[in-house]
Amino acid sequence: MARKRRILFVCKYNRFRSRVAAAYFKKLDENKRFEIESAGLIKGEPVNSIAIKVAKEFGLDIKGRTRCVGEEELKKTDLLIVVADNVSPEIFRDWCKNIIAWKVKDTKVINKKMLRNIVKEIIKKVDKLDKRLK
Amino acid sequence: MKRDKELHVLFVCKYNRFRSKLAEAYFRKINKDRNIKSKSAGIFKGNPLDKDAKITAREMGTWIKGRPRGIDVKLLKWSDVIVILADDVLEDNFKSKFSKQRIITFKIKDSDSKEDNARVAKELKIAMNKLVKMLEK
Repeated sequence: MARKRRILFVCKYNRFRSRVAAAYFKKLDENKRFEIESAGLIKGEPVNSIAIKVAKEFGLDIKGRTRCVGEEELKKTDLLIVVADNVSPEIFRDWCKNIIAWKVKDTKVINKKMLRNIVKEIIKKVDKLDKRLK
Repeated sequence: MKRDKELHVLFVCKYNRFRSKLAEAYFRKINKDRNIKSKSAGIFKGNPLDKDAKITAREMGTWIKGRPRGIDVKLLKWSDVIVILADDVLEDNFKSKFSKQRIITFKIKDSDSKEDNARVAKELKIAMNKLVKMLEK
């Protein structure tokens, strides 16, 4: 059997944006065609409980440990998606040629309304991506 | 000058496998200020150190060991000064709510071969000598 295509979502701290994108895309990928992961450029602090609640409103589970990108996993990544306006995609190009950059803004303060808007924005983008990959 | 408080210096390159490791090791060797503490990390957690990197460290009169580590928020919060030893790592990556520290960049190109290691070592030595003077002020 051929190896599954590996898709990696990246944001700055792996605390919210990349996790939401990965969680939602996993939901869409019912047949498990892809191996879907998320990571941060910098390993962030634990995921905020309000952020977890907001994601849950959308049926998304973003619990778990934050982590940063490893060199080995970059080599194995078929498609890397930057879900952040504050992470430069250029830094990944040594190993991964297939990169998409979504300029999704971060929140300065934890605010439910702002977090919801970010989730909505990411869901729209992931929906489009899903159509393209079908 | 005597420092009454510890100063935390974080050396950063892309993979923490060569440049930042060697820089930290050489800095440890030449720095005489016991209140300066140093660590190093990479934007990406690199693969284990290779033999040639260890040889280069020995040629610089020091040694390197340990696994490369990826940078995390804890390290950012710990550091007072971030020293970037790379031409492929942007300062912007560290400008955030966690980083109020000073950022110093030495644009050093990564080694592209075993033969190129000596060039990197030379550039790192110059950079570290400069850094020691900068931190004295």
